[in-house]
Amino acid sequence: MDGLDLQVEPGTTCVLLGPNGAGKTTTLRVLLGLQRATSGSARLLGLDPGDQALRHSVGVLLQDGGLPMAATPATIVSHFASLYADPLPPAEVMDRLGLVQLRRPYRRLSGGEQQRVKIAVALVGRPRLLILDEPTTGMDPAARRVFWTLLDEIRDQGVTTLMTTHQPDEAGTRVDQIAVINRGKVIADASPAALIDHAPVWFTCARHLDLDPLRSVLGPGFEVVEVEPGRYRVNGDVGVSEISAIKAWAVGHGSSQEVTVVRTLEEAYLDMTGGAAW
Amino acid sequence: MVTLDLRTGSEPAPPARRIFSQAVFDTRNVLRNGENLLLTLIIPVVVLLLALLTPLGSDRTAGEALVAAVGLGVLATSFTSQAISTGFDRRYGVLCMLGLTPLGIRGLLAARTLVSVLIITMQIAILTGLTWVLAGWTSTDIGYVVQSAIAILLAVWGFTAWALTLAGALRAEANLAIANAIFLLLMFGGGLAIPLDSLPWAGLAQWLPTGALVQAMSTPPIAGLSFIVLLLWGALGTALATRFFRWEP
Repeated sequence: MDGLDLQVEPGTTCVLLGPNGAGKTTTLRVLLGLQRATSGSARLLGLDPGDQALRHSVGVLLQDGGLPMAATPATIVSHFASLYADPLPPAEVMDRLGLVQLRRPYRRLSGGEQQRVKIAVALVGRPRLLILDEPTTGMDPAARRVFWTLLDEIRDQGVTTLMTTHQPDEAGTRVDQIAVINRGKVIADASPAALIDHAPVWFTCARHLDLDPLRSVLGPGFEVVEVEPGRYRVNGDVGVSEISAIKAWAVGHGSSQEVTVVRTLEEAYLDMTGGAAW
Repeated sequence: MVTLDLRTGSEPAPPARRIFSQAVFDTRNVLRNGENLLLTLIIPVVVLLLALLTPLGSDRTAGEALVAAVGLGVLATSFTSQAISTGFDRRYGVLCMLGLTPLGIRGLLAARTLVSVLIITMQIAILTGLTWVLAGWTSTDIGYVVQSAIAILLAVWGFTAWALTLAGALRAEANLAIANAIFLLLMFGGGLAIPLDSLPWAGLAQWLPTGALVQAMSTPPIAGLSFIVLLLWGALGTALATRFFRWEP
């Protein structure tokens, strides 16, 4: 971490996005009091990360935070519930996360199933704040959908969530805040819509297009590149009028059908982080 | 689909309930684990039976055989089993997770110690029952029972501290190997399976925690030195555990 500065409002969901090794997990570990920052300060619900009073208010899912290997999901969820005075009924949590049918010991569950047990454990104590490190790792698409619906529900009840992910589009527009971290710094901190607004746009066309006419249509301040055959990227502050111009130009220059101009969170993210895989 | 009601938070359960709940959870896991049962119950029972029923135990009274078997049970439970389970729980991140719940790290330590005491109580009941049935041995001397209980508690403290030192400082596999090796060394060379007096190194073995434990549980006169030896091992283990124990993988 290098001068990382971030604030998450109560009752909102914030996603930390960033490449491997960007400092996402370290940030969560500092917030949980597992690691000490060499300078600066962190507060959770107004308290110091090491404060014992946080232990019943924060639900945690860590990548390397495991659960008892030999116990079944039902035993694990009931046991964690027993550490709280007024937990959620374990049966309801098990039902909601599709764990009722899983009667094998934790060690014999698949990665996605283990992840669902971890989420159940993070929720069972009725937390006010959830800190989740890569919660959807290993989950199939159906389980991911359940997870995101659950997260919406939780936010509607005033619970704050801070989570990390590698997958920008997964966070989509369902979260309130996205903080992009790279090399230990927050390089963007905004709503998903605001981030997408600044993303480069893409369009594809089955035919090879001569791009020079488009460049003159768009004028200075925009850059058009063919990133791979038939796939084009337009950098610059592309607004509604530029998108209409691109579509009109493509039809007039050999595209047999209307082109779709897309702008995704993933492109915004790759643009910000430099896009290199390593 | 059920809606989870998270509108209000929850207070932690009272400390005693958290610790007891964790102790029950851990005890169930220990009793369900075959290797653990072998270590904590079957081996002490076999050593007792060999001493009571075969010529191997001819140089021991029934009381001495019981003391050795109980000593073995204490070693297996509070040192070997504790070191192995804590080592793997640390590797798999279980300690870290429990440390972040209302149980906390101190609650977990208290629960694990309670588990050792619960299991050792079960061992003593079984081993004493067997010695009574097979050899007619009983003790009505309250002083002796108290003396033995103090010796066992001191040993549990020391062994647990050493177990945590190993489990916190070494990789889980290395910890497993070393905890088992130490168990075998102390079982055969520390005055348990083979009586202290029969060992060529009896003078040295009485300074080991197992030798001291056996002597501290011997019939009066009380061997004061053995209690001091147990205290020293406990203090040294605690100092090392405080220095080297880590909760995280």
